[in-house]
Amino acid sequence: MTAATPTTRRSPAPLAGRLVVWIVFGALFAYMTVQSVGNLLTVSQSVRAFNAFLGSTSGGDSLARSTPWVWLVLDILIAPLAFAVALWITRRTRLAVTVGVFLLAFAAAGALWLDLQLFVPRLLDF
Amino acid sequence: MTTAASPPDGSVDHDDDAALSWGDADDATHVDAAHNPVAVADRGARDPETPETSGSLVGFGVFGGLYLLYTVAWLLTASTAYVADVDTVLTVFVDVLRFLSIVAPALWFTVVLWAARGRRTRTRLLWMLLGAAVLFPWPFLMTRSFG
Repeated sequence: MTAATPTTRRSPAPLAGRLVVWIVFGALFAYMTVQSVGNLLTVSQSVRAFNAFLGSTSGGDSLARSTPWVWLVLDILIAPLAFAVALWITRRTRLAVTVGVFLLAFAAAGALWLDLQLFVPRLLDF
Repeated sequence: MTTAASPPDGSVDHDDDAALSWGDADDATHVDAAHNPVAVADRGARDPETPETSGSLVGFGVFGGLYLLYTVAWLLTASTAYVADVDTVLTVFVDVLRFLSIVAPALWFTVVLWAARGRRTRTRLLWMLLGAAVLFPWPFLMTRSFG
């Protein structure tokens, strides 16, 4: 017969430490989001300009491109979503786990972000 | 978790309704449910000290191997030009992401095993599966021609 081992519940990270993590990674995720918004504006303007140019030439309409809105919006959503998930996971964890999870969330969001930086221009192929 | 059967307790007021009685309370083999509370484990939690089962070790081993392949694939695409004609801050930012994407599979594997060690095996394997989907090295496929 074995007795149940009570689970030791550790106290969550102190608020000051969590605040530092939130601010540092919040700034990094915010920068990623700003770049994604800039990417959306740049790509949509480029597509519009490209299509306008094609419209001015005879028979160029068939080469017109459409803006990949889904991918561009997804690009913007990656960072806030990763930050929110990391925040939710670490709501009752120790500081070391909080830092680890936020670092992982940033790395994973970064990998997805790089995927899209490579993928979206290939869709347009001007 | 196992619980011990309590000794018979004659002082307990038992309802002698035949349909609800499991026998004489003074019987040495009688087990009184009132004195044997069933311990209900917290859903999603496991004792971190409990050794891993062979099945879970195989599962983690498979994901470990897959993540190792991901690391190699991200490493091989490390020189990919993701952005062009950008300022210094963005260049540094992309370089940091480039490095993090290489270490991300190992980081994901470590964090799931370390931070979620008190969670059930199925939960941790699902997190591993999510990591395999999120960290898939698409740049490796996009920048190489096969066949």
